[in-house]
Amino acid sequence: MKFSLVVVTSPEESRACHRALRFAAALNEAGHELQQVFFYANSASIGLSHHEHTDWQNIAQATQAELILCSASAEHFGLEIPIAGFSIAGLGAMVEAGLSADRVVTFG
Amino acid sequence: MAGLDAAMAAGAFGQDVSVLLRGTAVFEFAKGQCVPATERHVGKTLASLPFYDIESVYVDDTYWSQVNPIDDLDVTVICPAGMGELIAAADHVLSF
Repeated sequence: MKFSLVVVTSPEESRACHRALRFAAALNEAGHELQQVFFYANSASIGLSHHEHTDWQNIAQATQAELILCSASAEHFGLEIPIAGFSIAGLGAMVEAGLSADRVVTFG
Repeated sequence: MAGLDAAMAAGAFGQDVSVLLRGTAVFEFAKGQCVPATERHVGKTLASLPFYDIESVYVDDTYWSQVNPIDDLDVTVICPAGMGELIAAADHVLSF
């Protein structure tokens, strides 16, 4: 089954980002396809340098999933150049991923 | 507001979108909401949804009787069972 994840809250606000990471790893272990993780609203702060990115980068490498920081949110946080393994795109990227996914799961 | 932006993006991509306001979120439709100049007015944004081809707006009936809604509002009031049916009928559900 094809999955797409949307994370809404920042690591400081809730455990949602951590739960999304665990869920992504479980999907991979279960043989599902993870297409995209879209970091929306405050969760785009995951792209700031003080956060730990290794686990997400490992997930992206293992699953070939896109890790996308919402462009409007990234701008809000002053992120112009994405960190390795992440890209910056608009809400259209999230909608497109949802169209081809069997399930879209929100964490927030 | 993040949820409405996502809904409008999906609407702009030609998707069949329904918006459901649950719990105290229905108070966004109340008259006389004061919004700081730096923030967007959720009620007015909700009223603009038809421009994004989003015609289906639902409100949870739990608190709706306490809301003095803005004029010319076109919403459907539904009970928890109705919400369950609405969610079950959707291909994808995004919660904010």
